[in-house]
Amino acid sequence: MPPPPGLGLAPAPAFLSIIQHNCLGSCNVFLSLFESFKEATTYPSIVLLQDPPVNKAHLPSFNGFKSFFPPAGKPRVAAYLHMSFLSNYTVLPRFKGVDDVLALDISANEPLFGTAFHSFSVINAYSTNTADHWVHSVSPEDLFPDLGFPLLVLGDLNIHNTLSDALRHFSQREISSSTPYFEKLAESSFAHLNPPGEYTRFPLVGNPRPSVIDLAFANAPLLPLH
Amino acid sequence: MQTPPSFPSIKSCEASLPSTGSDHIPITITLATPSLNQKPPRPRWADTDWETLDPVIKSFKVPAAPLCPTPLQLGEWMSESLNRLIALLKEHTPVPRPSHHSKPWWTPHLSILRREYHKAARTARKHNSPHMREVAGTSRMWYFKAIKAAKNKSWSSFLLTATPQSLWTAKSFAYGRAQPRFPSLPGAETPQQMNSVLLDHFFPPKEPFSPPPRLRPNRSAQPPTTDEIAAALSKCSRLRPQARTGYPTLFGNRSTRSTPQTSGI
Repeated sequence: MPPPPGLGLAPAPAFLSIIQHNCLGSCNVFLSLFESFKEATTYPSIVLLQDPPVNKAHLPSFNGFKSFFPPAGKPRVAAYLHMSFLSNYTVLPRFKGVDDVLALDISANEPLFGTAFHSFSVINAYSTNTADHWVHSVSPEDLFPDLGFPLLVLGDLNIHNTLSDALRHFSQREISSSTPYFEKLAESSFAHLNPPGEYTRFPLVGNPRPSVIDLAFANAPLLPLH
Repeated sequence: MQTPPSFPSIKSCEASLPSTGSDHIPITITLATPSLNQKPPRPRWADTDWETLDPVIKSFKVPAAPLCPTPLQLGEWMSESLNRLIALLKEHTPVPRPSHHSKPWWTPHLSILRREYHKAARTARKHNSPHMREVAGTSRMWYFKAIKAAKNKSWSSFLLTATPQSLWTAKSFAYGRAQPRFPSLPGAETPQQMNSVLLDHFFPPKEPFSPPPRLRPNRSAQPPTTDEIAAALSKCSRLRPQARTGYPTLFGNRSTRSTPQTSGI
């Protein structure tokens, strides 16, 4: 007799889905996010978190997922991978010695995701303003490296630019601080995946306007003509 | 929001998950995984029909091995013989057909009963005899009794093996899911539809502004007579040479009419 439903691990994903979210360091947000997966048809393969909840240098766990995070007292990024995904692919997490960037190198014996490549990389970053408000904590060179295989860059980058939010007027400081990122991704032939102008952050308090700061980029090997 | 498939490997970039309480929106990026989707189905070796297969295997003959083969020829002969044997086994082994309609409590015995029930029902309809109808009714009764027994057995097995983690799943199966606490609006399922319904209710669209009707000349009326014109002009003040504005005043205002004129032209 087949096993009854609800036992063991969560159902295996039928396709690869990656979710990114800023948890604001809240355990309630973390649980709300993972509980919402139960309403969906399949579980995501990779969940990339920015500002995850941390208690005594430990992150919360969830049934069916394995977590990876930088070895720091309070990691600012984390990745949760579905166990079925880990059983199908080889995953190597890299932390680069910082607490706000996390890279996952995925490899398999067969070509991945419709490309001719056997390797795939995902970068999760949480870039915040530094003390002088002109420089962000994660540099463009760390975010958009020149790789010869598919790379997906996701994260809360806290940068504002007309390329991601065309209908909004930005200050000179916002444009100056975000321009190096968009210049670097143009030089490295990255493509912007977010629908332009679709807000990703709606401030809960105060009067700040909605903004597009949770961004996703794909590099040239994912282009159709590569 | 959803991105059109600009890359062959990226299917969508959308915000399909509900709000989590954060001021950020969860973003889902879906990648195509043909390597995962195109895996051939694995035969269910436990359900192999060995009774039918046994005489076939006994009569199976391994192809003749080449004389003085090279290692390459030996490998090819071995692969060919193995492939023939595997193909023979697969012919008598069912392949799983995963479906959303699959039931965890379904058994091969139920498939046999279902087949017999439909066969008896078809025969009863064809011959329309009381005996056949009675046979079809009996088959139907046994079929549905077997379904009920299989469901009870599956549920009992699930409860016996329930863990603290699956306890709430059992409760949701037994009592159903709780109703969502967020109110629903009739005719609005998506947040965008709810938004438009609320806006239409509390801020209904204004009726278009219509200008006042224009007074049209009455062409059937007679032109005024000289007496009527004189009577109308008699109600006007006398023409003054100039007013303060520099223009001659034809009609007097209320103060002018109430004040008696002391000086003529």
